[in-house]
Amino acid sequence: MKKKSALILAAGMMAAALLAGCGDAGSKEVSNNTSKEISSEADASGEAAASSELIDVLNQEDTMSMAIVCLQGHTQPDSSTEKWMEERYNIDITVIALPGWTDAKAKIQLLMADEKARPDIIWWWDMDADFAQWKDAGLLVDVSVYMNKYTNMVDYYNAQDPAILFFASSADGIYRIPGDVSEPCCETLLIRQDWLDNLNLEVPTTLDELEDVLYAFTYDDPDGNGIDDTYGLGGDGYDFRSFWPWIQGAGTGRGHYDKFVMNEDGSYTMGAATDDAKIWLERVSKLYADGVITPNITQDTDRDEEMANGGFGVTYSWITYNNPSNAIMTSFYASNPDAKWVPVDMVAGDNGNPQEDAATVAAWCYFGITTNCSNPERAYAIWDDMAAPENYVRKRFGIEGEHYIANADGTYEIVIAGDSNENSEQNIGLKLFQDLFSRKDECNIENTTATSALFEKAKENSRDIYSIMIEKKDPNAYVIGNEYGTDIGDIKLAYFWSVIGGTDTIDNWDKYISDLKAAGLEEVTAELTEIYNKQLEEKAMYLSVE
Amino acid sequence: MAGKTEVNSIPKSNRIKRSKAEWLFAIFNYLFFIFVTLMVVYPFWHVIMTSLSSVEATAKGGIFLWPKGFNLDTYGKVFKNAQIWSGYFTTIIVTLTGTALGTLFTATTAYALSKKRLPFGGILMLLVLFTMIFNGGMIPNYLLIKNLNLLNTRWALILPGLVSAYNVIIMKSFFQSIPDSLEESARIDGANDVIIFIKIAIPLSKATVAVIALFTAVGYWNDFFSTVLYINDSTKWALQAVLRYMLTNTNQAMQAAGVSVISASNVTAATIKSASVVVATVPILIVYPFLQKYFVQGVMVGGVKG
Repeated sequence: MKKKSALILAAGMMAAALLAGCGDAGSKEVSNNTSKEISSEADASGEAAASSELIDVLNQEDTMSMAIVCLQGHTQPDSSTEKWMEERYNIDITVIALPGWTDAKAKIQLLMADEKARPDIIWWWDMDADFAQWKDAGLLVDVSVYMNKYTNMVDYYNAQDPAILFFASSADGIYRIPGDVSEPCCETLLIRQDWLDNLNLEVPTTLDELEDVLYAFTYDDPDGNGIDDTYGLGGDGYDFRSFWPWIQGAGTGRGHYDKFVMNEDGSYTMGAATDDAKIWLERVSKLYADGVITPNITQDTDRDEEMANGGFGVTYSWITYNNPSNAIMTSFYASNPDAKWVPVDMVAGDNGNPQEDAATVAAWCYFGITTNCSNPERAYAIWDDMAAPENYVRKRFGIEGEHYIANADGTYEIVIAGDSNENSEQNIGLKLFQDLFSRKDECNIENTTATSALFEKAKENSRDIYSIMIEKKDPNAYVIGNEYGTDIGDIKLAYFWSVIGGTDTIDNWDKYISDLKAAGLEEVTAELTEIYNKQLEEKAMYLSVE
Repeated sequence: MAGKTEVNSIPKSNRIKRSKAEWLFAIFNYLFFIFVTLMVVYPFWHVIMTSLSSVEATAKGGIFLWPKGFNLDTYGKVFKNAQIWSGYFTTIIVTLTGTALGTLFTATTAYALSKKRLPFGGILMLLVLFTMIFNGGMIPNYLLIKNLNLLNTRWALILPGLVSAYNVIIMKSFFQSIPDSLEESARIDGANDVIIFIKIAIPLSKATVAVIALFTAVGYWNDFFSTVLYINDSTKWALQAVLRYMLTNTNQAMQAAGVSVISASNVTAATIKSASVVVATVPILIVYPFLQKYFVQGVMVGGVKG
């Protein structure tokens, strides 16, 4: 009897536990309805605001709360910059700092899924599928109506490249604002001028001359210390970008390590499956076998550590290494005071048209105004006002005379850098919300004039290669590509690094191609052809309207 | 004769002689455990040496046994970082509160469950065991904390991990080993359950309580994921979450996360990272030796029946 009543009691408790879970469905419906109501209210207010006057963000009587998500930059709350923004716009800012690159996406998903915790401004990167869900669920505000009224951000992006906003837009509006758009090209060829001088060599202008320099740097003791401790080429390990001079210089320059490319007849090919790729792969593997490339380039090393260590004379790396304030180069020069890295023009290859490695036009991160925001138009207007040059410099670099010095000749000196200890210790707030709209033009006073000129030159010298690169607007739409892409990528990585490292040979190229085809390359290419051609039409239409 | 017999007082001819195989085994043992010890200790040693090295030397890598460019500036910078202090504050509050409450609730739960006269004790024990095997998962836990209005509060870091079923079972096993006669004699003297628990059961289980407290404290000290889930305000981040943020702020982490553009200027210096690791680990390392003797005793708890 006792056992029977115990069993009944246990069954009753388990049933109660199961029923307790049913309560969530109701609350979920309520929350869904609530978010739809908010969304419709926001849409209504958006439509209504589109026809009214501009909001004067500097003279608002009501204090608006704004919870803003960010990852990089200054994340300490109550900084001086934050207080400046709050006073200027009569807002109460809550900084929601994401917990690092590894866990940030999980946190972003949680924040957007929780209607109470959802911030007013959300930031994200590389979350196209989630973005599509948020948009479809009505969690993000369409800011296209505001973009026509408040134009600082739009004007900046259109001046950089009108296609930036094309990539940000959806068919029914613009629900995400580009947060940070890379410069059109971020890298350049760097060479040790002191080693060239020691060996009486000229700056190379062709690929053959560059290879001669690599051999000289490796075998002719360019640092004059009598020790065989130098290499020709070094750089970021396990990264094909380190071999860019050979990639762009092989054949017609279509052997891109990572992207699909457009052929002369308008068809598309995976760059790593072209004959051009075979050419540069063979050249690089020979250089590696001859010992003129640092041995650890086949391993996943840290680019900054490699640069700080030195030991090689040529590298293809960040243009910003040219800035005197760059911490990595400061470290390198502290140990090598006689060294001199100089940026040089890209060397000409087989087609005589030297090209830098073009970056994508689309932003790598976005931010959006959620339907939780009490006044989305005011929020957009505030952000747009912050994007104006003088306000951007104030937010990003601080107060003139205190945090930076403006010289009479138009140059600037950074007194307190955004990633310096002083910024954290004094809680100044430089680099606050750095990835929620970032300017790369003359407002980026961190770059010296020379570095800015390098960026401009690199941009001009990368347009030809960009014109044949495929840049997908909606990676989510490539279903077959997403399904087979990982396997195809793995085959490419395994074969290429094996050939470079010497454990496989270029003679197996045909087998490599057939492995790619077996992994679904032709289906991926067919899907890409269909979707990308539509994208080109949409882009042409978008740019013609703009 | 009382006391230990000194080995050296035994004539050599009377000592047990080791065979060749035993000598070989002993040598292998020593070498093996020295090797394992080095493997365990060296990474932490490397972190300490990096934290004592200069930024320039560390940027190149290659720190091996000794610091290069010895200086203590890095620790100065770390201790000036407001986030480290706020992390310390949160972690200390959470650890002390969580350990105190967790040990209290674990002990009281285990004591009650150890009594055969507890109504439906078997079913309650099964429910406790159930939680060891099945877990609601991340989302239901998040929703629970949210519905309790604990999001963005330090209680969200304390309450979810307060009572561990494993610890309850360990303590229950120990309480069951206390003779019933002790309790009976206490009752004869007029003690009730609470008095017996406080004045008899707990003093007898000091070792077990210390072990449970240590397990609980280490668990709270190391927890970072609760911060990721439940805390939005960076001033309430636990120390390990602050540390994780700094340690994952690397180029490789960014590339692994799908970011291929330059953000090198944001990367935390290796020296700062190393010093932060030391700062976050040293307190718990200091506490551990004081509780180690209880830990050695407590390992056998529940495994030996009286």
